[in-house]
Amino acid sequence: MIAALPQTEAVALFNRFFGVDARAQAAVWDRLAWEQAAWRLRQLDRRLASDFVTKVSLAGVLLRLGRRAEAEDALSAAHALRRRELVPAQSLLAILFATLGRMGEARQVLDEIVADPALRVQAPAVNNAAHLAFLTGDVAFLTKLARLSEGHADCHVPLILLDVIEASGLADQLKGHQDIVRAVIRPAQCWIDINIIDDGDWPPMIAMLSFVQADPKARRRLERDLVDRLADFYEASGKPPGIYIPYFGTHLISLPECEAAAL
Amino acid sequence: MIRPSDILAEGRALLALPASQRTEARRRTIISRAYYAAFHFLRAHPCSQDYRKSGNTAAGMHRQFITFLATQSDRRVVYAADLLKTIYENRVMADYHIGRDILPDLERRSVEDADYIMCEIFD
Repeated sequence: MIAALPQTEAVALFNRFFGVDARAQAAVWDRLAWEQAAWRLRQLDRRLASDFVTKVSLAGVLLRLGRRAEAEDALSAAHALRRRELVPAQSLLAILFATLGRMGEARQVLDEIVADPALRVQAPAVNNAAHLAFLTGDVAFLTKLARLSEGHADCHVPLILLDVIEASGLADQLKGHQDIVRAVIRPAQCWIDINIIDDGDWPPMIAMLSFVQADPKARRRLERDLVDRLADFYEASGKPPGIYIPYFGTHLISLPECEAAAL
Repeated sequence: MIRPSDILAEGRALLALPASQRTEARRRTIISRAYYAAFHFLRAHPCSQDYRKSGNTAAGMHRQFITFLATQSDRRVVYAADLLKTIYENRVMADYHIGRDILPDLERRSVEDADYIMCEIFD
């Protein structure tokens, strides 16, 4: 069992910007709010240089603002300070590594959670690990997570993702697919999120939302490039070019400031 | 009788309302209009002349249609399928998952994606 995090200012900022429902809040789409958060987290970081939550939140905010070099530094520092019992913060650490394409580190961070019997049955840990397994196309890891989640009602993500992969018949192609997605969008990517969309049919659809630093024209070019490269990949495997589309896909979303700059 | 562009025009008209009048219900309506505009445009487009709905699959009509488009050899059609699927997912969120918040700006993105399918991809 895990104690609640003490409600420090850093935790409040973490919850506001990275909590489960944070992405739907209008404030989280306000660049000024992110700038203010970066400023405040920097102050906190000077005072509490060894605080993991402060450091990983700072890395997330900087990445969201497109300051990739600064974010990478903060992320490396957060990695050194990581505390696996702080599952939400540890999960954010993994997501930030994945956003930057550092999949090995992302996997290591999540492995540390799921390898701990006290932590691994927590839904956020297992479900976040499943998202990452999907993003890397690691069906074996996903299968392992599904076994871990047996009997735990809230840990449903691994099984859903496995159902989608099985229904698509693309288990052998998933890693290649995700490698291409990463190669195309990683340079512009500032945040990722996975949505499971249930329209009443089975299986549901999997949507990876990728928030990119790209104005609308550049985003369309990225979208088209991604569709073409995936089509080449599937055709080379003897399959129809967009066979994955009914099952899973990547939606590129320009950051609001990139939209505004284009007007 | 109306055309797909009329459906999209209705979505655009709602999108043009001041933010204070763009209630959540209207935002969800805009997303739905955007999807159906793009869907009917593609149903009427020559690229789908060979499409036949099958009764031998568990998938609903919309997913069947997206699957048909996604498996065509013309890359423009595959790209259109990808965008249509995105708006379809937005529409599922807007019309069925009413207890969950929808992303800020989702209605504008849905209209832009529909507009891109209808005015750009095949030009």
